[in-house]
Amino acid sequence: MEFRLADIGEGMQEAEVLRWMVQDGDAVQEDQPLIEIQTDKVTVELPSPWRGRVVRRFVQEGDMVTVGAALLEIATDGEQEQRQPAMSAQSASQPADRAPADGSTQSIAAAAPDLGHRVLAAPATRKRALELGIDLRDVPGTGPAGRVTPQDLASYAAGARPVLTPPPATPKLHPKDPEDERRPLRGLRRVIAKNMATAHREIPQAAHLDDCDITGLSALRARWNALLVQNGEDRLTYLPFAVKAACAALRLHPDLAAHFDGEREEIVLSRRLHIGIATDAPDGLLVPVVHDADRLPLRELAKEVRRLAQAARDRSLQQADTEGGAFTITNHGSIGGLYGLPIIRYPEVAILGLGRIRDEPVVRNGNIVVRTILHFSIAFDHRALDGGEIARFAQDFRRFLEDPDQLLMEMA
Amino acid sequence: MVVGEIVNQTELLVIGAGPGGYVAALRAAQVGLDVTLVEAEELGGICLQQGCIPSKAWIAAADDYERAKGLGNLGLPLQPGPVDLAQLRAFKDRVVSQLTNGVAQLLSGRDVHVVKGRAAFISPKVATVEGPEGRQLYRFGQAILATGSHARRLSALPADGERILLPRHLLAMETLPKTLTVVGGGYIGIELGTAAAKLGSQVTILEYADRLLGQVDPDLVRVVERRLKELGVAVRKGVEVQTGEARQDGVAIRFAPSGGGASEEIVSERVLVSVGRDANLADLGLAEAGIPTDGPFLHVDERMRTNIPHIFAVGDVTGNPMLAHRASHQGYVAAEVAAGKTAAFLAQAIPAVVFSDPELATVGLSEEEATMQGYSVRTAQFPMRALGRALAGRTSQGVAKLVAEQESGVLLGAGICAAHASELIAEMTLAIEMGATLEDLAATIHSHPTYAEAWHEAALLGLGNPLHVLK
Repeated sequence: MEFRLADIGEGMQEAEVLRWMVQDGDAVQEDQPLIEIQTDKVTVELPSPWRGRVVRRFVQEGDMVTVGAALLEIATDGEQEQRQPAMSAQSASQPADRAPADGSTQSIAAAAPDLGHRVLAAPATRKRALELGIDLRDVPGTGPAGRVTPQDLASYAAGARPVLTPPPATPKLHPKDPEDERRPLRGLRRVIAKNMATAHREIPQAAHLDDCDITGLSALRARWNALLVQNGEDRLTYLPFAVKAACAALRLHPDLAAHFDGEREEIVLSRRLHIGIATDAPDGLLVPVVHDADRLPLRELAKEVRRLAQAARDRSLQQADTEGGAFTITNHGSIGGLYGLPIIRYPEVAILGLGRIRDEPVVRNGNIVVRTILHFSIAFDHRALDGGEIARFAQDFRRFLEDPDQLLMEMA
Repeated sequence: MVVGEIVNQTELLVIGAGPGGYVAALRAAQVGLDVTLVEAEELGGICLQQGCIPSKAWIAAADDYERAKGLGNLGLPLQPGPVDLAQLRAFKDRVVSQLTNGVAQLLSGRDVHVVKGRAAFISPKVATVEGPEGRQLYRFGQAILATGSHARRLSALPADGERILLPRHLLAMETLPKTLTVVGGGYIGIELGTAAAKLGSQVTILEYADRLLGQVDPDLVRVVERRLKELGVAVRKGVEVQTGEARQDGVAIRFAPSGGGASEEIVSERVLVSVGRDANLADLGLAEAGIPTDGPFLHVDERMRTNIPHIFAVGDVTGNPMLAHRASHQGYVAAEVAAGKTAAFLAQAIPAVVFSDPELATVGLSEEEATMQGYSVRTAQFPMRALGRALAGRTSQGVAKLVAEQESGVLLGAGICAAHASELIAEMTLAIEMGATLEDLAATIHSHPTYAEAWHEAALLGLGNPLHVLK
């Protein structure tokens, strides 16, 4: 039986093979993890649906595989017995001396053409593909019944590796040093690279920088935290307040909580405010999503933010934890930096960056006073939004943080 | 290792000089490796020494003899005299010796270092060879295991080489037994039983399963069974041998229905035991090399590597189907991989041939296998008697069958039971490898009058528009 990559999340198209957890020839139990894969959202281990033995694996670690592709072949227990090859003299054996009926499945590609993972191509074409390191399943076949011709392979190879056109004259960044470490782009890093490049390529991005006086909020937070500590609960950070303020502002400016669908030339406005929280995890950036952040009581929201951050750090995020985001907040200021210019999480249209909070001298009523100031930035997709709307959103976001009473009224 | 022992060095140690091992050695030497080939017996392995080749000498001669008997009906009477099996054996020996010399010359021409002896690993990097020149040590860079298989024995009928025979004993006989019981209706039993019957033995075949030739398509096996009956071969399917006893008048075998029931006895001058083959894995020092020995075969990946990446395994030791041409192809792949080339076992289909009467050959999936694998299939069967060439050649028995995927018409498998099936299957093997469809076969001109027209007609039949049968 072939085990194929199924769509494990909405609209998943492909995944990267991170790690094989079985080898060819291994016996596997039902539900035993076979392979660890990474989608653009999560890392998951796929369990075996059957009990049997691994005949062979079709993909290698680091491969990108599309949904529907065969990952490995498992001879299920029933199959192993039926698969006595057609003409072995064994079929004529007497039971007394019969060899143990164990894994007599062949561990090589034997007599079974299988249109499932079989590509129609002549032996020489298959050999050439092997030498080129090309998976023939990726090559569009133009021959009868979709057969891959030598020409198909050649043009695919030429497209995939433009060996015939001279490489662009990129200056060498530095002389090649044998001590240099070459680290392959794998796993989450590869996903991030792809997503960021897409966002950077697709989105004409502009930014708006501002600050706000959160002295009042700071005092409120201190009072609340004193109570929470008394009750033995976790203290609140500024982040849940900022999420709440952003939600309140987004309700007034719904155009910022949207996806840009360039293909259909539509802007898809999100009805519900699922807010992505950019999280600095050990393997790289992850963006878990707080669902219905506007409807959660503040303490619940804080708890959910903590849970997601922890899950991101210990790699236990579930598919659902990363889906459905409408707007993203990145809190780089907790590490450092007065302002950041974050890249929008494609295909969202805006992202809020929280910068450093610090006491600063400011002018109030003609006097210089010390106040607690939060610096923030908003990057936006200029295809979907204009600066005026962003400035108005920033005004409201700022208002809600500067005057917690107004925020509390909005939270009701 | 003992201090003072001389250790020979070799880049590639090939263990076993059968069709897997000697091909691997030739290819490896051709691509520049320094190769040592160890063989305990004769070059060429079971295939050349005891199996494929010697049996074909017998089978071809028996077939000619049988056909000659029929010439009288065409007005060409011949007077067959008594069969002299010793002469046939001498001819067989000449063929074997000619081919063995040929292999030796090829190996020496490529500077393969051939060593006679029995090899065993003592570590993942060193093997001993016990031979006529004593014990030698070989430190190798890489190794290919190609030690083949041996005929399985039956405890109820221990082969003595006199009255209870293994295939090689039968082929070495100087007189033909008047009566012969063949235990095992797989391909070897059918082939040798048929030949013995044609040469004049009264043959009975006992088979444990309720069908002959294992999982081969019943539409094809039926033709063989019909012919066995014509040749006077008695076939008892679904019976289990209980006891065997060598007596003055021959060997008495007691057998009963496999599912239980009253037992019967058959007494025959000789008994041929052909109940399958087992991989030669004993005494190879597999554990010392780090290769697991828990199964009946060795597991290899598509580059023919065992779990120890510099030790390869090819041929019968890697399991079924145990066929010489599969072993050779694997050997070729292993040699290329060992030499650092990009190679893998990429074949889509391995043809299999039974030298029954008529010959039976298959490649790819049978109808049963294809259906079991979830294909929606269309099949087409064309009877050989509708071919002019087959009728004129007095070989009109049989059928050619194609199995194609319903929607695309892509050829999934082919089987044929007919004269020259062993040759005819080559076209379908190529067709499957090339990814041919029924339309491709139908659009290919087949010369007339030939047996190969059967494929063309079967393809037309599969497309719904046969010319030479009425549907």
